Amino acid sequence: MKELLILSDKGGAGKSSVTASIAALLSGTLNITLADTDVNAPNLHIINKASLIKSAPIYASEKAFIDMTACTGCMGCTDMCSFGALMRGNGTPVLLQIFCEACGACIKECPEKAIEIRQIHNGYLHLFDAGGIKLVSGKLSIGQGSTGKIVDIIKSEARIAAQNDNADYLIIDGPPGLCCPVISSLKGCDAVLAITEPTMPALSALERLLNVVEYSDPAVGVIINKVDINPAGADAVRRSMEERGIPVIGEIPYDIHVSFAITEGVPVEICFPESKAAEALRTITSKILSLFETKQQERDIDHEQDTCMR
Amino acid sequence: MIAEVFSKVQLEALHQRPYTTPIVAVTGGKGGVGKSTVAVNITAALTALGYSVALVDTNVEAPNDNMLLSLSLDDRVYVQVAMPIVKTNLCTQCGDCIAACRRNALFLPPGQTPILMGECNGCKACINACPTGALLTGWMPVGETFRSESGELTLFTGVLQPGRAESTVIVQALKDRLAAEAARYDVIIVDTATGVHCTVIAALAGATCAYAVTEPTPVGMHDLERILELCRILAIPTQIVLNRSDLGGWQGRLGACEAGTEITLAASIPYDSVLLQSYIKGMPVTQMSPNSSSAHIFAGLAIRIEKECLE
Repeated sequence: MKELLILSDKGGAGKSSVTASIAALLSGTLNITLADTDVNAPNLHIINKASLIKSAPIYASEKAFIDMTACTGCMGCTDMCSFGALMRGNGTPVLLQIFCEACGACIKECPEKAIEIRQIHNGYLHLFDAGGIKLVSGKLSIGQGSTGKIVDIIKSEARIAAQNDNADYLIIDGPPGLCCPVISSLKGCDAVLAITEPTMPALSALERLLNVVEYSDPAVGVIINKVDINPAGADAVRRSMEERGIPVIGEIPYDIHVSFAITEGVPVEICFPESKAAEALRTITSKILSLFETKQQERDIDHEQDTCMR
Repeated sequence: MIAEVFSKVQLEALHQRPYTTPIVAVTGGKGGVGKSTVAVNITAALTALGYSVALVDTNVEAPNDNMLLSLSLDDRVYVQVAMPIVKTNLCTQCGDCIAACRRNALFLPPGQTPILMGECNGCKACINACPTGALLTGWMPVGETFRSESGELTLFTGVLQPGRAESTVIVQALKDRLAAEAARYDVIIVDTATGVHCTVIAALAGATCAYAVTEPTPVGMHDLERILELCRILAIPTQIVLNRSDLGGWQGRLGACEAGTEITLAASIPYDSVLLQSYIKGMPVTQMSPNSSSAHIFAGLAIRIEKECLE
């Protein structure tokens, strides 16, 4: 089973739409399992009009708790917090758990031993049926944190689901940005498809993302979405990727059918197969599998060279 | 659902700040709905009304307000977090630092002194735990903040170093930098990242009011409901800005959302190629095409902010 992760540092570039269509196309001949690790704004189940099979709470966040009956208000703890989670209140410290990293620096400082660290509920794990394809998704509860740990749980559940279904590919609709949930999404994935747009903000975000992606060394391909809204910007993306040696494996024209498909809750490939976007997505899908093969060949060569050196 | 995430005392602590300048947050839950476009254009429209405006780009993982304004990033300040440095001659190999580190970032090889191997988040628990003072505080960079000026507009930008996880630290450092001079501005516009997580909460802290930008699609509505819920528990009065409002099909749902939450639709922005061109060109539409329909909408929003926050 191989893992393909769809990413974009800039939000709204088309991660979920591309994921839904690629999965629909590949599932014709291969076994696919889907995951959605954008726990802030999970949308793949909406774009796929998936039905919920089951749901479970997640307790993946550790936070400090102060026993206010034991606290004498010495405020020693407030000086120890490096994350702005402990503030001086009126007579007692005020703990803002959202910023607490559960490091425990405050615990040692408390003479009354009034602080302890406990696990708390911070999200939900969801299993959906997306037209015969299993979709493992999850979401952050509002006002909670530790998104990276929710992603770890989604990925481990998705891998189990994929193995149970004998999946050839686990396709993961990733989160925007480049922080905790992105780093967790990248762990162990074989290939990354980075979606971008032909604008300066999107290109700048793409370059930053690629710097993070390189740490885990997957195969990488880039897709330029809405490519025709700014031809000069599209050229800039192509030039930048050529310099980095990263292939642009597809370009999708701006197509209002994509928005209509989102509203319908059906991948554009199925909803409007004659549309320009659907055609581009078919070309992209035909190239994705070769992305994995190229990387495998590179690794084989590296391995041979290593063996020869020894 | 959890009943109350923040108590009254916690909310006061979260929102407390050493200045009274109104803060208008532009947020939205979903990515790519036009948060930065709205933030940059209402900023430009407010400066056109003669106000001195600080725009704070807290989307530290993909900052782009400077590009939409064609401003360079100036006056760099590094953001650093603490890390332990082992003074081997003072270390007795007692292992207290290893026990103190809840992230298992420190490793003590037998017969040697501790080595930092894992993901250190700079909490200093190990440094405080060391009985012999063998751990000194070192600093590692996790990002930068910038300050750029253009007439009545001052742009504050935070940038996370790729590969680091300290987005919230950067947002807090950026807001601390702003705080030092916040009193000289008439209004502060805070452009947030996508999502509803800690980075967004740090950005929304202290906001007088917020505009949640969305688009009339099922995904836009889904994510709008999440950000509206966050703004509700943070007790920040919030209105909606509907971008690409003529996309079709989903205005009805927005009406239901408004009715359910008693939240006002402050502005509707139909799809406009002039607005797209201004985005690509890196110039607010209110400056590039002041007579365009989009420019009028942003000018209207600026007047709304003036009436609701600045008088």
